[in-house]
Amino acid sequence: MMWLWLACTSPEGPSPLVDSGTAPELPPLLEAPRLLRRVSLDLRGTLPSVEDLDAVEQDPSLVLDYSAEYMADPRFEERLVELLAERWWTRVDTFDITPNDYGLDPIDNFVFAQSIGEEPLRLMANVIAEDMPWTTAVSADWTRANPLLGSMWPLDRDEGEGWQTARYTDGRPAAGVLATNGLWWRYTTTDSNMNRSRAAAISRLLLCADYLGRPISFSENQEVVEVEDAVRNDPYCLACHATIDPLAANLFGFWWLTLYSRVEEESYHAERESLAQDYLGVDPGYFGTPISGLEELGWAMSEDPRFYSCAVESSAELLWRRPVVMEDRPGLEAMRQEFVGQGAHMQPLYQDLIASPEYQVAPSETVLVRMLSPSQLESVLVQLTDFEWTQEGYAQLQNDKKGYRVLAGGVDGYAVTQAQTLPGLTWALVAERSAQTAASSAVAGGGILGQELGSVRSPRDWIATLIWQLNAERASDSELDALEQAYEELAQSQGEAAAQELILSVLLRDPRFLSY
Amino acid sequence: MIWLLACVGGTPDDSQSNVQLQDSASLPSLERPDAELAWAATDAEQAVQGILNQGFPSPWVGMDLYFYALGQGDASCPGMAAQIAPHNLQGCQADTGWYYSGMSRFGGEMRPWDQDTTLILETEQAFGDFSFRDPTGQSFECGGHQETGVVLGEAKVPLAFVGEHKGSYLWQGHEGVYRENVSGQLQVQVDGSGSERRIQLSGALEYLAQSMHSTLSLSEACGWAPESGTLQLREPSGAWLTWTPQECTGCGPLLDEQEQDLGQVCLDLGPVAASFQKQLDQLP
Repeated sequence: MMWLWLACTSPEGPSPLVDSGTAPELPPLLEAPRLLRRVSLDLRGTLPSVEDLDAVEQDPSLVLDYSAEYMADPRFEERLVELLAERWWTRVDTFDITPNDYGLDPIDNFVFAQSIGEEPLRLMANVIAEDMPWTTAVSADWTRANPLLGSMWPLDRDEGEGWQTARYTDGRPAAGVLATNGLWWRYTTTDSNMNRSRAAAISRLLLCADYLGRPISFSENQEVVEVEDAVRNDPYCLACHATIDPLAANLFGFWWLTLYSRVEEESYHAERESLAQDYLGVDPGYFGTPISGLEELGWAMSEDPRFYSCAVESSAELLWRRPVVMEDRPGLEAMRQEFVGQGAHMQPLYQDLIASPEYQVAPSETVLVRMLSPSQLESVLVQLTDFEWTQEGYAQLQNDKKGYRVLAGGVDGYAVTQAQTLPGLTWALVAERSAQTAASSAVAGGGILGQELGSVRSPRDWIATLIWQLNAERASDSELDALEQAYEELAQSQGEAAAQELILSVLLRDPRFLSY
Repeated sequence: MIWLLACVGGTPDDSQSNVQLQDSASLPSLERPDAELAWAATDAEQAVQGILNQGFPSPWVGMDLYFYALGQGDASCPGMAAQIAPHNLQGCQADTGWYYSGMSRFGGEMRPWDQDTTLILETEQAFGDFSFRDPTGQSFECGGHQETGVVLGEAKVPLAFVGEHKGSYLWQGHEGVYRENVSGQLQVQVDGSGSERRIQLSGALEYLAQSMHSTLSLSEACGWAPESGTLQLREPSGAWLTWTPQECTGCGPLLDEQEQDLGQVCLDLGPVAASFQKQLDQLP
């Protein structure tokens, strides 16, 4: 498998579609059709149509026009949920509260956990998809809720199916994602932690300032002291606690006085805002500036340049599929200035990131291929073949309780917090089984591939179109010869349907298909 | 300037590409929340007095409600006299029509009352994360505990009562304040003797939808007006107001978060004392 994987890298590429002027030696870039495929997978989780591929093959400059069009697609918001989940880690399989706490059947656990974990992601995705300023993500007086959340939590939810705008009715301040149950059900705290881990999560997620990344020295003073005294007085401890404790003090409305309790965790407890001083010994603040509490936290963040640089950096990491490195900083700073100058809207930023050579770079000896994430694989197979891999109500590529999310290279939000970047054994097994079953589904008439099977006249033409459709690369004659021969042999011995299923099964696990 | 100091640091590459970090003045910042106070001093006085007049949460009442609810079941559901039998964790229906689910635990302990004496505090605690429902569909919800205790002196005479409400507590069938969720962490101490009896209220509490934080000490000698402490009130806009009553008057200024005086507020805390009358009556 590995040799195939490496063989799919492109030795050289075309000129960049946009000249950023930052890199003296540009690495090879993707051909326009392959780039369009990447854009479509990143922004919609699906493949571009053959018509779109044909168009950019004729005129490569159209790729960026398509990227704008794809951001207006309803699937963009769904895809954002998947992207944000990789960074925010809220889509976990288990929370303190279970379906039984709401009188729900345990079999509903997948939908239960998914709904809760997606609440903060859906809020942010809606902000981006509706092209609202990014500051809305920390100031909105609304959230997003599906019917299940609307029935469980103190929410006034707009009528309609699926995810709708909703407002909490328990008096919590308007603070966007910072005031969502889903975020704090994932990031819980304890008696001794007193919301500090939550404050650290805010800092990491929204400011890209990771307290856990700081070097820590412990006092040389060997006298045994109480921990709470130390964090307030010991200069070694104060290096972090001078800022993290006041930040934690903003979150005491979500301070649960007993864990694993539904009535405690589902509602905001306004009276406990006043307990911050009792527990932490400090008042709410934001990196040295006193603030009144959660209702001013979003405003304080919007005054912080790190909030904007973090939005740029984290978006770059999600779209570039790699960590940001020192050499990226000048380009990202220019994007940050543009981002701030245009009012902190994310869609223009995404356009800038997609136009960058860092996004358009082709796989090479120094640049890893991008593997389809489990969610991308799932949505593409649904699009192509109608195959939805579920078992007992669980979407098998979206959970690890019964499914294969991590085995397929995904993030579970607890034990695995970074997407897999290289193919592995379990990944290959998932890809193989997915391809086999999806191919079977298509031959039974499922998805756009299934619909197309009815009009197959020339196997060679069908295979050629299929490779173009699936991989955004034209098939070579030798490849077509080999596949056509295999098709004909199997068609003779086992029939046309078996031959079609074989070809589909092979192509749906082709490294060119599974990478982008 | 604070934000500039907190800004992401430059890198060598920054200088080469001639980019400059912007100052916060040019950021697309939000408007600072500037919610107008919904309450004037008189509004606060009327709202809070109206709630106080309906009573005050008492851990002893909370404990009574717990045993009342448990007593509505049968031998198999909830299955134990003082707590839900563990095998009923996922829920059970009693012959009486009451439904019980969750877990609860009842127990007691003795611990030293303070460091200066040999007095012992004897406590009982009903802890739980449970949900009950009566035959008419009214809910009894708990996440947390009710703790009650007594300090006995010589001849088993009570010297002090202590109680704590911690968490969330609701019994929709209650005619008193527990008909709506009572939430928070509040310690109560009822002590003293003769006309020197006191009630100390320490901590955070929300009941009848009013959030507050108390350090008040009420004195019988003052007609149950506070002799010390403050009462913080969360008004409808979300802002916290602080009432600092002058000793034994029941009246004092109400200050907003910027410590601006909103005017005098006078509260009758007699209804609070009435909620602990049973404990007061047992003191010497």
